[in-house]
Amino acid sequence: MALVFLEELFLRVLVASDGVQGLQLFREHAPDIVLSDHIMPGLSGVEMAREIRRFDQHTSIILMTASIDHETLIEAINLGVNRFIPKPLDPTVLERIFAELIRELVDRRELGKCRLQELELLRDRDRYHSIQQETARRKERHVVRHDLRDKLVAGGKGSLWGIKVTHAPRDIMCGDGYTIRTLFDGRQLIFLVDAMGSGLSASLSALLATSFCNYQVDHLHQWHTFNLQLFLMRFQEYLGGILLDEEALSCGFLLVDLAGGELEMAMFGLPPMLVRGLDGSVRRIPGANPPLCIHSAAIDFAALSLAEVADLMIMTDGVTDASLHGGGTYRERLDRDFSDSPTLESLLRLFALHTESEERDDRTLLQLQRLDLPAAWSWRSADQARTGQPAATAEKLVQDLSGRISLSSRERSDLETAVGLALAGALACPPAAAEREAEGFLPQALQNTPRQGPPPSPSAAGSACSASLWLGAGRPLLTVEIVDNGPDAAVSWRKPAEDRSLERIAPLCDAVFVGGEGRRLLLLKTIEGGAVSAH
Amino acid sequence: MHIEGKGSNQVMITGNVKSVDDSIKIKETINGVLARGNRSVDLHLVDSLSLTSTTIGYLMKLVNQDQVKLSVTVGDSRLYTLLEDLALLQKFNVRLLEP
Repeated sequence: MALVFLEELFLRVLVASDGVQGLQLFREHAPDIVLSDHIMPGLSGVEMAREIRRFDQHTSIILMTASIDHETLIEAINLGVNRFIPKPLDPTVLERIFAELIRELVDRRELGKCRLQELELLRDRDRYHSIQQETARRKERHVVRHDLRDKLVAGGKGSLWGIKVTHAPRDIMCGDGYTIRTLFDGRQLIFLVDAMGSGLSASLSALLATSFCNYQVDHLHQWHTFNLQLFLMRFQEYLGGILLDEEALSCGFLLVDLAGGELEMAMFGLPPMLVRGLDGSVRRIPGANPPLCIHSAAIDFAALSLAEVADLMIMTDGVTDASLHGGGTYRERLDRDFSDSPTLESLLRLFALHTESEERDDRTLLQLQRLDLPAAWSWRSADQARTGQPAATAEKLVQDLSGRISLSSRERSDLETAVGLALAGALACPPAAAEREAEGFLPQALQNTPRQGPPPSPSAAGSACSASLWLGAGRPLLTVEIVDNGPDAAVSWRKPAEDRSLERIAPLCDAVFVGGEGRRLLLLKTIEGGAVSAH
Repeated sequence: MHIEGKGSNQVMITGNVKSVDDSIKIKETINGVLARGNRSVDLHLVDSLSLTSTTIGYLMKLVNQDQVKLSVTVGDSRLYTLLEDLALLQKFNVRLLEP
């Protein structure tokens, strides 16, 4: 009777004669509901339920019993038996219980479907946002420009300069932006912006402002002479159309004339510019203008002679407002750290050491640095032909330097590797050979492994390696210069990002600059002597 | 951060101004002062060492566009230095409370 009733109710009914067969049928067919007697030959109903629950936690189990002892009942409940039906069977009770279980089953399936749909929706959204973010990141990188990245720039009276930037957005789209462009007349225009506020609006303002500067510079040939005042007038007009009522833009414009040794600037709400003299003295030059907004007033411009300047640095407030360990902001110790750090990289090491990493905002720092600094110690490869032996030359340099200043073992190793790699790059011609030479390059390898590839070219014999130490900052700055003087020199260093051997050298130094159409390489390294790690 | 209005146009802030919520509260409180017909706001930052850029932008709008006469009294010299760096001392009539 029960079977007839069940077959009317369900699409398919499987019948087992005992618990063992019931378990086997369950494994083979995975039914939606199990209706079982408790007392059966082989396995009891509770024992069968225990076996089912080992691999299935969801299927509804109904136990039919005339009597059941207390302990077995508790165990059945703990096993997750869903319902108990007294015997003899009452069809009305059975129908009600099945109706309940079928409703639960349908609900569970619907819930499962909804969860899957939600999961798929979340995955879709995640994919969409990832694509959006990646595109935004590419756009940001596309707008930010640095015409002089890793380039040596000749200034007046034989001076040499370089510009380094670090741009560390907190999010993919950030409120900081910059552009460094060479103008048609040889001067450089540097623009640094920090759109105040946060999120996409600030990011858009920074991107638009930077794009405006790029566009103007790209069309400067239409200008007879470049005039910073006029440029800023147009910039203010442009901002009037893009900024919101309560939006403000901290930014700075530097018009750098390296040939003339002068700099003209207009700063708007950026932290003060830090300027270090050749004698090591440091001064702060605060911006004379508040942040720009749609109602900005007349602009104050300032001029600075670069004749006695070793380097200068401008930055966004993500640097100065970073929280110090133990309270306060980095503004409080920036001057001290700048005074100690001759390079941007060394300042960043101190910044990382002293500030809370999880609270950092977007930050951009830009350093205009003189590279022909007065030497407190200088060194030149005694015999130019020695540069035909990269490892020996690098080792001699480090050895002589150690006699002058304390070097940590890491610094020794990094220097030997960097100089060795740079000299090997100078020797290798064509560049593909430099790549072979650079494979697995280590100081020991340099010393013990015979040089592979083609023999030194005639230009290699003309390579020169020299070094100097500048003591103007708190920590000494080592500059190593490698010049390929050969008359038919074919070696050509490119930027670290485009040159495999320089790509390996760059992380070992604070900065790498390439000049003289790729025939002159400068490596800069702050000698910490273990100072940073000792903090 | 805790903010409260005092008198007709005084806004007193204690604690550090740092979060987006802080910026919203400051804006709402000052808007409340202005809604009562005041054309001047006297803002006291008792011990904050910073000010969010959103708040700075809002205060600049009050001064530049709405012609509100703003005066800011700060108790922490670090905030005074920040406003000095931003060239805002004159625009916001900033005064450092002597310890």
